[in-house]
Amino acid sequence: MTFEQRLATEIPHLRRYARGLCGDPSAADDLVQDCLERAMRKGHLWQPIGRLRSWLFKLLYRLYLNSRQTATARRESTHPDPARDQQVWPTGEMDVRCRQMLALVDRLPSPQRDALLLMALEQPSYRDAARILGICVGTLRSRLARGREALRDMQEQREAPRALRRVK
Amino acid sequence: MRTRDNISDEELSAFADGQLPRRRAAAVAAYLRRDPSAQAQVNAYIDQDRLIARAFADALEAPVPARMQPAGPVGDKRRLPRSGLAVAALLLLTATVVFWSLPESGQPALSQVALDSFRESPSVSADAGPRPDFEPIGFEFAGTRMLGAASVTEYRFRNASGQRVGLYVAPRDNVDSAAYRVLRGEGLNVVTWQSAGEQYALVGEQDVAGLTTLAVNSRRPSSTRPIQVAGPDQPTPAGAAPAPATGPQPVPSAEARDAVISTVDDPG
Repeated sequence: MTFEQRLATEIPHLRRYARGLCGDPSAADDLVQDCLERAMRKGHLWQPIGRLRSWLFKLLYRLYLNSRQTATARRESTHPDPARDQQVWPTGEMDVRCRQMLALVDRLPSPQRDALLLMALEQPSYRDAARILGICVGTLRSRLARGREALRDMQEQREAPRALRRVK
Repeated sequence: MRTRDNISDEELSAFADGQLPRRRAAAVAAYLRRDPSAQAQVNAYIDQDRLIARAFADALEAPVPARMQPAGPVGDKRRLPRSGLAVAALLLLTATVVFWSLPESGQPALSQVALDSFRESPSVSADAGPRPDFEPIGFEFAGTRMLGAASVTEYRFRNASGQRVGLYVAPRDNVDSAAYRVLRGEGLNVVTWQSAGEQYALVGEQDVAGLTTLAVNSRRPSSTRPIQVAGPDQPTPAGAAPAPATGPQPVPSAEARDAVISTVDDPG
């Protein structure tokens, strides 16, 4: 399989993580395209013994961080496309829970959110995930644990008023 | 944070990810059997991951936009490099410098000849005669002609979705270079390289990544159908020695990949 073919097989995974990071699909696709262009230019730097997906995710995440910094420096809004709120979401119970979970994930600090999304979507080894995010494994473990606990707290707070209403 | 039995939240989180060493995972599992609240905590972590993954389940199945296909069609013209107008201006300036810094024996640069010809003539007549075979990369021959003043042979190709590319070949006496030069033009991109005493320019509306991929693949031997020059009415019989190539020469794939170097428009 050629380098370009291998690149093509990774696109759906890149798009999925990019959507998690960026929020709206259009910004995510722009990010993935930037990543692919960078990968094509830097293809000679990729070592065939390494995992292409990890290498690409690392490129993607760096580009994402750069774009976020640039947006902050320009005082642009980093909030996803307002049109996102107009998306038609499925109304099944499980889908509602997914949507609620994503809303809670969006409230996490970015480092925790980025780590959590990566693990939930791709399940890389901690070593690979730490390399992708540019942090050490200990930091990754800490971010994941704090992020998950924060999510659990938020879930419990959300559930609490309902429980009170039931008692009344 | 430490919890009972010296099992931390971090370890419970790592247990949910299946990332604990076997011995430590066994200790955590034993602890979970004794402590329902810790068990609920781990279940909550697993449930969080499951909901997040499910929320993006359709992303893996979604069709990939054409602009993202490495060998795909037209680039996205509405986007400029993220670095902004300064980078765009720098690229334009650099591209201009490079365009005019590649004179070949007193003639205009091949890339400039290629751009002008591709822009001015939407199509050229389909002449018989030897030509590079682009069918393995999805493009059919659409015409050829000589651009006399510059001793350049022009080949046109078109794919099933109507996208056009032009390949321009000219002799070159200088030492071969494995590098690709990628030049961004207005609405058109050009990839140039040299091989076997010839210089090549591939022009098209595709984005830089797509066009570079086409250039690399056009030089790459296909396992089932080697790229070679053949006349339209005289296909090379199976097993026969390939005709002398006047088009792009195959190179080892690793070499081709290593040679993908953008010398002009690398803002990163």
